[in-house]
Amino acid sequence: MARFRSAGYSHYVDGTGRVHEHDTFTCRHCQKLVKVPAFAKPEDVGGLCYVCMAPVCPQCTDKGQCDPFEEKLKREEASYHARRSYL
Amino acid sequence: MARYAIHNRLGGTQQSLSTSFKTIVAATAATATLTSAKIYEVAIGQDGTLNATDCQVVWDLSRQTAAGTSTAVTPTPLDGSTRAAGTVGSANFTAEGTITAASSVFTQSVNQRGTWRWQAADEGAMFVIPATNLSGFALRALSPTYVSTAVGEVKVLE
Repeated sequence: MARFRSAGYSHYVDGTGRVHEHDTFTCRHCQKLVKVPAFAKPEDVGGLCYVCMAPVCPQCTDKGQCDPFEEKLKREEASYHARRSYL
Repeated sequence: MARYAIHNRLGGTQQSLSTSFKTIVAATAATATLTSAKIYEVAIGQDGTLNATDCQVVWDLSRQTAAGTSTAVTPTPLDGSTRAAGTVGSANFTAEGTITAASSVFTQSVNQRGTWRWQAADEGAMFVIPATNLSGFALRALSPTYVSTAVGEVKVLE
């Protein structure tokens, strides 16, 4: 999964001092952090959106539509600036 | 681009955890210094007296849209930047802010002796703080058993 441009790394030390490390990816549609166990199949940890060509979490995969988070942010910020323009 | 660290040992009094979520640290945008930022690292752990019963602490990073009652902390520049951060740091909440329902981008249960750290390997993995007043992320924790303090840190790029 590290080849995707949404990759991250999780480093967990448990109560016994044992270290658990995972690759992660951030869902391009909702920004949810998804852990990727070693050798996991892509369909087991979410999926690949073929519109924005980015990994997405299982919930967004199930929705079956492409709504990248950047577009949501643009809408939120446009709404905010429009409301402020009336002040 | 400049990088900053925001954690709850920068100011205020650390609050003990309880069975409901308590925000440890938050990073939000503010009208006066409106800027979009990205969280590229999150680190969590417990620094208080351990409970005699082995137990877990549940951490959560969710979107916040309105401020609660907290201590303002100044984000610490990490790369020698002389510019003050546009992102507002808040720590050790005594009253929760408004958290957007179902906006959690991660939740992690850790042992009371455990720690967890996440780092984004590239910009596409970072959590985006929108340039909208009071919008941002709250790093929260709860525990059914552990009743002491915790340390949370977020690092932002703006």
